Amino acid sequence: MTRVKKAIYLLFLLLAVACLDEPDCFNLTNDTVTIVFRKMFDGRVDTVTFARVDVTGTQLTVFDEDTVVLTNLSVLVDYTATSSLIKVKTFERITDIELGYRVQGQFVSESCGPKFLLSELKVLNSNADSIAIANATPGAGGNVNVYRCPRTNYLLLAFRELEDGELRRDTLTLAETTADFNYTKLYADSGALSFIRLPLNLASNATTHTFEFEDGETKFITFNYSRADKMILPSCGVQTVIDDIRIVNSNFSRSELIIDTRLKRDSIYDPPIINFQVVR
Amino acid sequence: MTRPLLIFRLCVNLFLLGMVGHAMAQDSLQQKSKWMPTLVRVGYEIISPIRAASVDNFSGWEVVAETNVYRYYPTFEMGGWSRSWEANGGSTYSNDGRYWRLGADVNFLTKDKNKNVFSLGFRYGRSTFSEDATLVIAADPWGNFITTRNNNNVSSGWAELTSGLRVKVFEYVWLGYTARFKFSNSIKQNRDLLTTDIPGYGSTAKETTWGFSYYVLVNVPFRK
Repeated sequence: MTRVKKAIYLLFLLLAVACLDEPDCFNLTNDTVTIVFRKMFDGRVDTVTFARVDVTGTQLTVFDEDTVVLTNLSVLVDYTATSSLIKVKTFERITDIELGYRVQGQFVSESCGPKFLLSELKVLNSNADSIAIANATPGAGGNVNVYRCPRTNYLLLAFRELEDGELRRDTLTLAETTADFNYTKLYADSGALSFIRLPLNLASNATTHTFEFEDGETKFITFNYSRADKMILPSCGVQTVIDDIRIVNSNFSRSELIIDTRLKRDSIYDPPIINFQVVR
Repeated sequence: MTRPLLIFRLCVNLFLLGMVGHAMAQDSLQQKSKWMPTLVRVGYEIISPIRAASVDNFSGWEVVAETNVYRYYPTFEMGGWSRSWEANGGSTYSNDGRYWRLGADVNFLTKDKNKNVFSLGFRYGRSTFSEDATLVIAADPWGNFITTRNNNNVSSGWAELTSGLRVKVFEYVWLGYTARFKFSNSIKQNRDLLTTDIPGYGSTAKETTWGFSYYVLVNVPFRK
């Protein structure tokens, strides 16, 4: 009966393994939706400065007037309903994203209680430039891609310093940057910076920016440019594009257009390229 | 060839064919005898009623019938169970259903004088059941939420690898167990209430699960 004994041992081994067959109670409900912000032009992730994010119908506020810079945003959606409206307030705009989804319920165990499984995520309504579902099952990876149209009026200025006959990256501490027109600040324009994105007035052919440094010194640059209406991407419609940008006045010791044989640096790109450099 | 000669040849051929057939039948008689079933065993699973008597949230039964074909044991099992659970937060779940399993075991104790059986085998199982649940959430940020959901006439199939033992206790009374590794559960989780427990299979929480049946069997031999 040796084989019978072996069979009995095998039985107890199986029973021991069977004891490990209890469900886990951790993170049962997949109610987290990740929204990824992207640039429509190249599909790459965009860095967004959030001011506030709300999931309406609840008291859930992800940020409250506290500036946070992120490329994506994870929010909890309401699994007691089949849709949630997410209001994303950035410096530029308020984007409404209404998401619909299927909610399946399950009793997990006496110790875990119930769980809800969300799936079939879809966009019911949105005022974003473009929006698409990347992964219809919440809880894993990026679920929603929010695309923005190209920004056609932000040039990129680099700060340089001359050292041993070579131009090197310089970091300047700005107290404030102002322009001669009203605009919404989308990018950092104060503090320690090596690059700065400067808006150009789309209603005019000239814009002057004034830089107030922490030590009290003030510098300015005046840009002249030409404008034209053009359709870059069909879903963005006709946009005003800027070309032939020149520095016509500046009190920096040296301010100049970057010369590049591959890219036309006197035009606006999004994602940006360095258009100009100023040298201390 | 004339007609009588043709008939004669046909008769000779039929005779020779008959002789060959008879010789083959004689050879295979020995072979055939070991492939003929010699017994039927029927059993009642005893863990289920013990469990039903000791806990409030389970009731169930299971019977088994098996026979032998040489060292192989075709097996049919059927049963039913119902379960009910209540979680701390007030959520409840209950189900009720019937199931059957069909398969065969291979005996590895072919030389045992008592014809005890240690086997490995497989089963295909199928269950039809209904279930209902009340799911209660009392947590921020969504506030209190109660939903009642049910599924009727749900069916599911699955496969099992089994290992079993059958031991002779008295002339006709045997005891035995079957341990089961259950997998490939085919239930379609496309309903608003996801299934928690399938009668005959068990928990759906993981891809595979285990089971164990302990039988009291009546052995009915009908051939030597």
